[in-house]
Amino acid sequence: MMRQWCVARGKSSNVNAEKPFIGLVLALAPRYSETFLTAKVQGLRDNGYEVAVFVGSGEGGPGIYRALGIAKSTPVRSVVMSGFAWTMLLLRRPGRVWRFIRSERALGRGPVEIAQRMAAYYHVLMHARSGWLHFGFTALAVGAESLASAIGSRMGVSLRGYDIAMYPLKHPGSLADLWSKVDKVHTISDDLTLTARRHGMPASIPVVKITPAVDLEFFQRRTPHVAKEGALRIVTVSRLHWKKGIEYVLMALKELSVAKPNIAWTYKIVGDGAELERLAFAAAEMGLSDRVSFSGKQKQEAVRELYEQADCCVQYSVQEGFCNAVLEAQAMELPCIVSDAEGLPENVGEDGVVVPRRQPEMLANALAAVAVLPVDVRKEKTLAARKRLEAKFNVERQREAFAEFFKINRGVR
Amino acid sequence: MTVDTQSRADRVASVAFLVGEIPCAPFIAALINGVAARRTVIVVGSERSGKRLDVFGANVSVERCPQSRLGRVRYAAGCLLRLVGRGSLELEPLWRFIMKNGRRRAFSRLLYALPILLHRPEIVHVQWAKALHRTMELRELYSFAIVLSLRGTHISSSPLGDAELLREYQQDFPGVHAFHAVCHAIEADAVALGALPDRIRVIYSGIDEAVLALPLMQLRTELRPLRILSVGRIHWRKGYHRALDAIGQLVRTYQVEYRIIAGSPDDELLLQLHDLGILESVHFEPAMSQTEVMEQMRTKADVLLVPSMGEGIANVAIEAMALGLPVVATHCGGMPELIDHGRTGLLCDPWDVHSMVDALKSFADMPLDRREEMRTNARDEIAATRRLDGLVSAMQVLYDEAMVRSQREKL
Repeated sequence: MMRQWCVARGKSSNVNAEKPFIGLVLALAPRYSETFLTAKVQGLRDNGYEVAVFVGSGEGGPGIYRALGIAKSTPVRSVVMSGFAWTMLLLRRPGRVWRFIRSERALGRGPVEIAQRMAAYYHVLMHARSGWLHFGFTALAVGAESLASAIGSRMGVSLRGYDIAMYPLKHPGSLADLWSKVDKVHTISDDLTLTARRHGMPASIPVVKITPAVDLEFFQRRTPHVAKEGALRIVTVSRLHWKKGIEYVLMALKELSVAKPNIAWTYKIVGDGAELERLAFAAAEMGLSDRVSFSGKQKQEAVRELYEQADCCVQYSVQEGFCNAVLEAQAMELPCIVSDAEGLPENVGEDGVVVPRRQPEMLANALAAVAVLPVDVRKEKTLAARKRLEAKFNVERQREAFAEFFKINRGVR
Repeated sequence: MTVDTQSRADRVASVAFLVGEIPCAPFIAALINGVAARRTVIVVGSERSGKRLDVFGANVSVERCPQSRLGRVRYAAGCLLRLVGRGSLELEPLWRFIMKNGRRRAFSRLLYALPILLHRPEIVHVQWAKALHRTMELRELYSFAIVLSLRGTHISSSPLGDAELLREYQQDFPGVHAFHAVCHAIEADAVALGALPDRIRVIYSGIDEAVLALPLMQLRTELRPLRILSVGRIHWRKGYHRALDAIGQLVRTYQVEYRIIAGSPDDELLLQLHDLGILESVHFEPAMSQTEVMEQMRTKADVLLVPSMGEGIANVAIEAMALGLPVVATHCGGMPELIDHGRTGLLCDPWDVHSMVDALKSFADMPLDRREEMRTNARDEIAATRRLDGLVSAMQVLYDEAMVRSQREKL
């Protein structure tokens, strides 16, 4: 415990006071393997920002501050930790403590709750500089609405798929305080903006859409697509999670087998997750086991190889903010069939096939249509999709957009 | 030799039921109480907080392992003291058993072994197959006959997603002395996993006489709204996601009130409710006691929907049929063994929403006399084939067979 605090305090001395500051609040520390996130942070640093990451748990590292983990501690440890946090904050950050309490009182929170939150967000209150405080998703910002004003920062939040779609359903009205405090919202798709509006986000809050980017150099075909007569090799790259709608795909395939027995389809599902038993059971019960395979999680190189060998990609989610796998498949010049869940239609654009969600028979029709797609039409569509990606989803564009997102802050405070 | 084993079986061997959690499911409790009329019975399980009260008779010894860490330590110490007091504690084999999977698992293995060692039952009846492997290992401490109940998930879907479990089943099933299969469908699954076919008996669940004696409620003439009821925990196998898809279509043409007694919906179902716009028509209600559920079936529903993706035989469907509530169920597992489509209920395809919608529609459009006929057929069927006393006596025979096989093994 002490080591953790000391490490965190040691880092704070490296803060460069000249640069505008961005504090990113995340649930878990980004691992080095999460290239998407680390690239984003690096992009902001390259654009002249000082970026610190505040996390609930996970690995430490340069510029990463971890919470004390009070909620997960034993009662005795949590009392000691909280006492430490309050004392240090009162001694070193009295102004922030005062503003935090005032803001929390204004939100109608009681003294015990305020004291608990102060200790829970010790890492932010102690180490963040004024500038921007940006939350990785909305649920993270719930309960932390007073932090930015206490620090003297602007507050930003990202709309992610599952978070904004599910959290308000489970906790109705929970985002009201957040909307009253947030200065700017980042969304990954227009549909998520609409979802947030349905959950009370006022029109007065500026929203900026910045989509994730795809590594277009890596996801590039090395050999032209070769169709196999009468075969349809379908692939889905996704976690095995109920929101991915894979059970509906299996139902569609059963339908396809009955309606078009001449189409020799095979279905590869790449990814792991809690639903393996459910999906393997579904495939077995519908008599599809010999044509459906679960490959588990694969390395990017293997995924690329799989796309090389496939005829089409399906992502039939019931909830999906934004799907990188679909873009990667499009980058590999595969026809993509997606559901109409949130961000998916925007992901694939005009060149993908969009099927209403939870409608396996319609999905079966779409698959049958792809199976008989003339070679020239297929080529034209998939190349157009690749071109669109090159124009809209490149990494450089994304980096610039994020730098722009936080630009308003320069010299303001 | 044969005479000797026969006479030992005649002594009526004692049985320990490994039920997992206490209180256990009501159908297991009913079986235990029935068996206890003729044998010494011990129930072993972990304490679970819950509203349902214990339903075991006075002649059943219950070994309930507490939930809290301190409670478990006290329980283990108490058991050890009792064993020492009797002078029957053999430290070396016990130590070997508890340390088999390393120090981290040692305490939980100790808790597993102690109640069995205390009572030294001659038969151990494992209710849930996932507990079989550890129970087989317990035989290193002393020899007993093993009976395994083949029930739903543990047999038909769990091994599909868990290679280690599949390996354990394949290793352990040939050593089980007798299997109780809840239906023929699950019998086939077990054989595929390595169970010896001649050791399996299909013994259908039974219903208490008292339930069959309850007077039938009057059927409603007009099914507006159509009051659909489902009962059972929230789990993908229970197929509520399919039922909600069906309700989403049904509400376009029918007035529907769908109640699910299961507790709060999980994320998947919650999103689906909003997505399909059926919040008004679907109500999730907290779990209830069996008596309360039966009351709901008798008075607050027109039809029981069993939308499961996989089942042995849903006990709730047996109860509904006994109470005179018509049943629409999916054609999965042993359900077709219970329901004769069109005569004692309606069946539909679990992997086709339209099939479920059609079944519900055809029920909603069914004239009163057809519904009356169907539920009477269903109740007669249950009265003829699913009586609790039949289940208990078949189980007693199964225990005797298991004892004989176990004795033969020793010789």
